[in-house]
Amino acid sequence: MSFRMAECYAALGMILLVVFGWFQISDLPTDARMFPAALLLIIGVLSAALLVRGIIGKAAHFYNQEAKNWRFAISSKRMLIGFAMLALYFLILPYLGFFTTSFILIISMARGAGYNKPIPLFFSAVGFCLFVYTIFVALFERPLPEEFFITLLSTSF
Amino acid sequence: METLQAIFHALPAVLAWHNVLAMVIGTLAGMVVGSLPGLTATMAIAVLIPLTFSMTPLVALGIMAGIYNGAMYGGAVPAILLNVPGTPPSIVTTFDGHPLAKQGRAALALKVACWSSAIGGAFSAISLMALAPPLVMVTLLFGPAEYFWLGILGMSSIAILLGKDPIKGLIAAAIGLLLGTVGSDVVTGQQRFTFGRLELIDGINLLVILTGLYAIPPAIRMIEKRFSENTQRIEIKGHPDDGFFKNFKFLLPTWLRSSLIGIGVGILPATGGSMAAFLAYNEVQRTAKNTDRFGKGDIRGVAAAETGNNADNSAAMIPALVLGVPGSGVSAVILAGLLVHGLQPGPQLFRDTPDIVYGFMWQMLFTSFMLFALGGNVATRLFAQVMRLPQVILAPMIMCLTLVGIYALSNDMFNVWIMFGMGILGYILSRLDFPLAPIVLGLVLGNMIEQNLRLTLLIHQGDLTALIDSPLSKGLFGLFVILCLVPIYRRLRSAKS
Repeated sequence: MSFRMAECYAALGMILLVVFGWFQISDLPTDARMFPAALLLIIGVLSAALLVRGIIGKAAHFYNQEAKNWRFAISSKRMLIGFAMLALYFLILPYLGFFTTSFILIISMARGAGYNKPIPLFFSAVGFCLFVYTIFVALFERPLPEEFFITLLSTSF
Repeated sequence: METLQAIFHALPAVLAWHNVLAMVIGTLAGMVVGSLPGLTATMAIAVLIPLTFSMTPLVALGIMAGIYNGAMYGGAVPAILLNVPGTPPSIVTTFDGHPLAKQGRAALALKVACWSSAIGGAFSAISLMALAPPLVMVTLLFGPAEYFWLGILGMSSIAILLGKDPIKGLIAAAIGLLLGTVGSDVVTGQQRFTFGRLELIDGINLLVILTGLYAIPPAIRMIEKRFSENTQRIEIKGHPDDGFFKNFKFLLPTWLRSSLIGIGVGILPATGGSMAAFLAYNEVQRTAKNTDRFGKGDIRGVAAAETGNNADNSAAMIPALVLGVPGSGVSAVILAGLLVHGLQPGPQLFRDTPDIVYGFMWQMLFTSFMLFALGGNVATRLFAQVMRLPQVILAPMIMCLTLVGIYALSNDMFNVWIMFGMGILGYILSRLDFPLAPIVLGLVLGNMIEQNLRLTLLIHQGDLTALIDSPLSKGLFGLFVILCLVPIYRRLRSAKS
């Protein structure tokens, strides 16, 4: 996808969001609606300008060489996997607990990105978990999702 | 005299052991973050703010001040050793820093960068102490209409001048303002964009948006680059002529000139450390008698760049503390930190919590001096090793840290998922060259703009001309119009050339 096309898609996406937002605030009284309506109007007009500029190819004026060499991601595959792993991390975190899930995320993400030294990786993950536990749990008493294995063990005995 | 008393009254609290410890930790953390390409001071502070909830404001601000000053210096380490700027302003440091390293004078370049960052930062902190208190008196002349225009002016200056494309800057600012409208309307109590969710009635927490926008996209970018072994050897050897006092006389004019430039640039909105470093470098090159060595390894080049970008730090906080209008992305994030700790910028901040606001100014000064102590030979050798830390391990750790901060806001996953959404939005927008700073600014200033607009209209029974009634609001409106004409002027000038 070229930079110009990506800009056009972004502008279109924003125009759709403006339409959606407009319907959301349509039932509000005038006073409460005024400010968000003005903002939606501004976003809509500017997005339309961005779209027109993209269609007629005027964006090149700003970006020249940068636009020619532009890529949305260095590696689309790794970017998507990165976001997917993060989403999975947030999904299973409430069930498995912070430390278990974080340990798994650090190991699997680094391995997935090509880091293949298991011993330094293991100690980095353990060191990180110990650091978070010492500073944020023991010292600052930050609440974190409970560990599944600890809960399981404590209920078993 | 009263101001002077207030400034010195804040000093004992700043020197309490836990505050000193916070500054040391912040400065070291900032240096580490700055020395890692891809991590910025803005990102470090954004990740940190949610973690400082349980701390007292001075401890939290001490860490932020340390990170800010430390990261600006830390960026020079990879710039000199690897020709890779750790932070955007340290691009200028590569011009002379890396050639010096290639000539075997890396130790000298690193020391000059350290001294210059400390001196620039110290001058900037003194300017903050000297200029902010008298300027805050000016704000007493401001009414709702003036505050409205001030908010609009501050936000549009960042939106229009910061990125290459004013359209994208303005869209980003409007998105920030729109995100700020989520929740109950303060006047009518009507719910806006809450989609029936109770969690959204009080609006989206500023920290959730900040962390999502600034922490997740760079972490994902790190994962995208496949791991490759860094085999570059880094040699740091000292020399008897590398001492501070041996170079003091030679570098003093550069330090003074670059500090003044950095402070001037810092006060202006939407300029930032990169511009300060560039201008300082150009000025030193222009006024130097012997310019042959510039670009090939002149220590004055390193000194100018580092003094300039660190002199911008505290100066950028002047409009943020006085008017509540931050001059740069990182000062917007620090301002968000103040708001999180219940500190509202403006005259009331100086009147109600002088120990905290002046304490923060002292912290900016002390953390600059700490660069002298912490950024020496041993530290730079350590940071040279830090740079070898694989980013593919660092990235998931950053992601996990964001969760530690955001989860604790409400002890559930709702905010975490919003942060994730903001991360996706931030990634898409940054790849399409939308600046992210106007979004933060929109969030910070949104309330002030909307409330003052509605208050003006309420007082004057809906009369829009009341917005430009007083001479001050006319002046601010005039500046706004001029600002809007800047892109047109730029376009005409580039078409001519």
